[in-house]
Amino acid sequence: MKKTFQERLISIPLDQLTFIVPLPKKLIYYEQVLLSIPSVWSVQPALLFIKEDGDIAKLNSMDTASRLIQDPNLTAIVLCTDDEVIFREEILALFRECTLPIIQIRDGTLLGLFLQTSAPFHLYGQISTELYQFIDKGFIQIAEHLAAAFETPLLYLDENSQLLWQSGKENELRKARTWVNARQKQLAKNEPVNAADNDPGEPYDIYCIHAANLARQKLIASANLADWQKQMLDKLTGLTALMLQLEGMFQEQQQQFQEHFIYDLLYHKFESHKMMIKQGKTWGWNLEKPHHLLLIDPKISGSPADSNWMDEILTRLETYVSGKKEQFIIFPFEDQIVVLLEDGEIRTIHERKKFVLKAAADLEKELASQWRSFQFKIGIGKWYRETAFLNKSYQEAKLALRFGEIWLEDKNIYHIKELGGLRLLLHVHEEILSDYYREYLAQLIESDKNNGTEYIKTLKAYFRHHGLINEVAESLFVHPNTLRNRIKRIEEITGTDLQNSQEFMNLNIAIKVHSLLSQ
Amino acid sequence: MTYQIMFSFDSNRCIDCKTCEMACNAYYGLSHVHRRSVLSLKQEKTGHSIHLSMSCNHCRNPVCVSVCPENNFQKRRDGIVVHQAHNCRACMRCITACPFHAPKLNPKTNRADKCNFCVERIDRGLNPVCIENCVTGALSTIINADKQNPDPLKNSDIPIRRYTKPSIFIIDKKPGKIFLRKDEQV
Repeated sequence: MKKTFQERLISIPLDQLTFIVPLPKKLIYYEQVLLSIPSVWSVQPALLFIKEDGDIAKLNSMDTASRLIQDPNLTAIVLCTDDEVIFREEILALFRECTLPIIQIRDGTLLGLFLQTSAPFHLYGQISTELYQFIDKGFIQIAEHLAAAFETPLLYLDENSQLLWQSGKENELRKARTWVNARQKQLAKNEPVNAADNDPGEPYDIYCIHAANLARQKLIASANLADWQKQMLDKLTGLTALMLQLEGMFQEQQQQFQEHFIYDLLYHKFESHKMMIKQGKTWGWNLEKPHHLLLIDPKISGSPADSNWMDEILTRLETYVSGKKEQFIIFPFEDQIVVLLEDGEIRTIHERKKFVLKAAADLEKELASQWRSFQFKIGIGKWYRETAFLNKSYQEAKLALRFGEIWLEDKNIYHIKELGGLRLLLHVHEEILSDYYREYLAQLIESDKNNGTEYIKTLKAYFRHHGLINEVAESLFVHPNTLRNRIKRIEEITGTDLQNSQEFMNLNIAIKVHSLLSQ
Repeated sequence: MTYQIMFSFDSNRCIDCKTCEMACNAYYGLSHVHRRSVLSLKQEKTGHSIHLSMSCNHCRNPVCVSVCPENNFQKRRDGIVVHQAHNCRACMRCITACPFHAPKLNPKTNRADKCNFCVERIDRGLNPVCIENCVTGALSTIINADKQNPDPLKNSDIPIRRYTKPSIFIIDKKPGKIFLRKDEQV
C-alpha cells in the first residue's frame, strides 16, 4: 500500500526534524522501508531509514551516494541519530541536484510511524510532550529552520502588526515587509482566525497566534507552499500559541526578540533607517533622533553579596532617568549596560560633548553612591546624525573604555574623542611601538627590575598630574624633594629634559605605549 | 540567543603546507590576494618556531566596524564579521587599521576583501573551505556560547594583539618528548 512521506512527517515533533536536503513540494510516496543501505536497486518505491553510525558514514562516501541517487525507486532517506551529521559538500550537492530528500530525526521509536500501513492520525495527548520539547528548543530555532527548509520568509508581527522578528532570504523578506506595510490597517482589523481564511489571491498567508488574553500575534509566510508545508507552519503557530499561554514564556519570548533587536542595533547596519525606527518603537524606543551611546562597565571588587546586582543596577538607573527631562534608553548587553541618550542637532560640537559628559558623570555619581563596592567606568562613542551608525558608536565606546582605563587612569569616564591622537597608536605595528618605547625607557625598566627603583611608576604619575610636583609626590607618598631627585635621575638616564615640551611629549607617548603593550 | 563561532588552530599540527590558503583562493577564485595566510614566527618564551594560519579573527570588538566610513562591516548573530563590498570605496582605512591585516585590497575589484568564514557554507551546515581542506586537522571551528566572553587566548603565548578581542582559539605548541633507552650497566 502506498504511503505518503510528508503525511508522516507532520506527525513527527517539530523539534525532532532537521531537513538536511529539503523536500520537494509535491508528495512523495513509498511502499516499503529499507533499514540498511541496499546493495541493489529497490523493486518498489522505498524509503531508506538508517540509524547505524556505519551506514550514516557510508552515506557520506561518493560511491554510496552515486549508487543511491541512481536508484529510481528510492524516494527519501531518514537518518536517525542524536549527533550532528555533517555531509561533504559535493555529496550534499549531489543529493540536492537529484532531489533525493534527507531528513534527520533523533527518536528511533519513530520508525513505527513510517512502517504503519494506515495513515497516521495525530494524537492530541501527544501535544503536551511535543510542547515540552518545543519549549526546550525554542520558537526561533525551529522557525528559522523551517523558513530555510521551505524557502519562505517568516515574519512575526505583534498585535499592532509591528515586526518583532524575521527569518529568510533578505530580498524575500523585503518583499514580505512591503506587503505587510501596505496592509497594516487590514491586518489590524480583518485578521483571519486560521490559515484557511486567507485570501487565495494574496502572495502571503497569515497564521494567527492567539495567546489567551495576552496577545494576538501573527506569523506571515509565503502563500506559495504545499499543503503539508502549510500544515507544519500551522502546527508551529499552534504550539507557539500554547507556549505563550504561560505568561512567563510569553515574556521570555518577547525578551528574546528584544535581545535580537539589540544585537542588530549594536552590530548591524540596518538596511533601512525607517525599519530600524519602526522596530525600535515596538520596544517603546524613539530612535528617530540622534543618540549618544554610553557603555557602563560595572567592576566588582570582591564577590557581590547579591547575584542579581545587574537587575538592581538597571532598576536603579531606570528610576533615576525617569525623573530627568532628557530621554534615555537603557538595556544590558554582555555584562555591561548600554545607555542611549537622545541629543538633537541643535547643539554645537563643544556643547554636545559637555552635555554627554555631564550626563555620564551624573549616572556614575548616582551608581557609585549606591554601590560602593563597585567601580563604574563609562565609555562614550562618537555622536552620529543617524541612529543607523550606533553600531560604530558602540565599538568606539568599547575602545574608549578599553584604552581610557590604560591611559587616563585617574578618570572613570572616557570619551573616544579624549583619546585623541593616542588612538592612532592602535594602528601602528606592535614591533615599531615596542622599538619606540624601548628607545626611551629600556634603561629605566632595567633599573626598576634590578634595583627596585620606581622610575616607570614615577613617570606615569608625573604625566598623569601634568608635572605638578606636589600632586605627583602626594600620589606616590614621597617627599617632593625625593621626587625632584628621582625626576633628575630619570632625565639623566634617558637624556631628556622634561621641561622641554617636545621631549615631555615624546616620553609621555613612550610611557603610554609601554602601558598599552604591557596589558 | 547569540553566540560566537570561531576558528580553532592547533599549532602542534600545522605543517606549513598552505593548503588552507590555496583552498580559499581556489574556492573564491582569488588571485593576487590572500584571505588566509600561514605565518611563521618564533615564540619568545619557549623559542619554538611555529606556523600560524591566520585570516580574519571575527573579533568581539572589530576595529573595521568603527573605522569604515560607509559602515560596511556587520557582525552577524553567530559572530561572523562580514564585509558588504558593494558600497566599498577602497578608502583603505580597514586595511590599515586591522591589527591582523585581515582586509586586503582586491586588485580585481578594487575593493576591500576579507575572510567571511564562508558564511554561505556555514548557513548550509558545512565547514569553511580552509577547514575542510586542512590535511592535518590543525584548523577547526568551535562555538563559544558563553555570554561572559571568556578570552580564548587567555592561556596562549602567541604574540598577537588582543585589544579587538580576536575570536580565535590557539593551542600552543607543546615541546616534543624524546624517549631514550637507558643502557643497563653491565
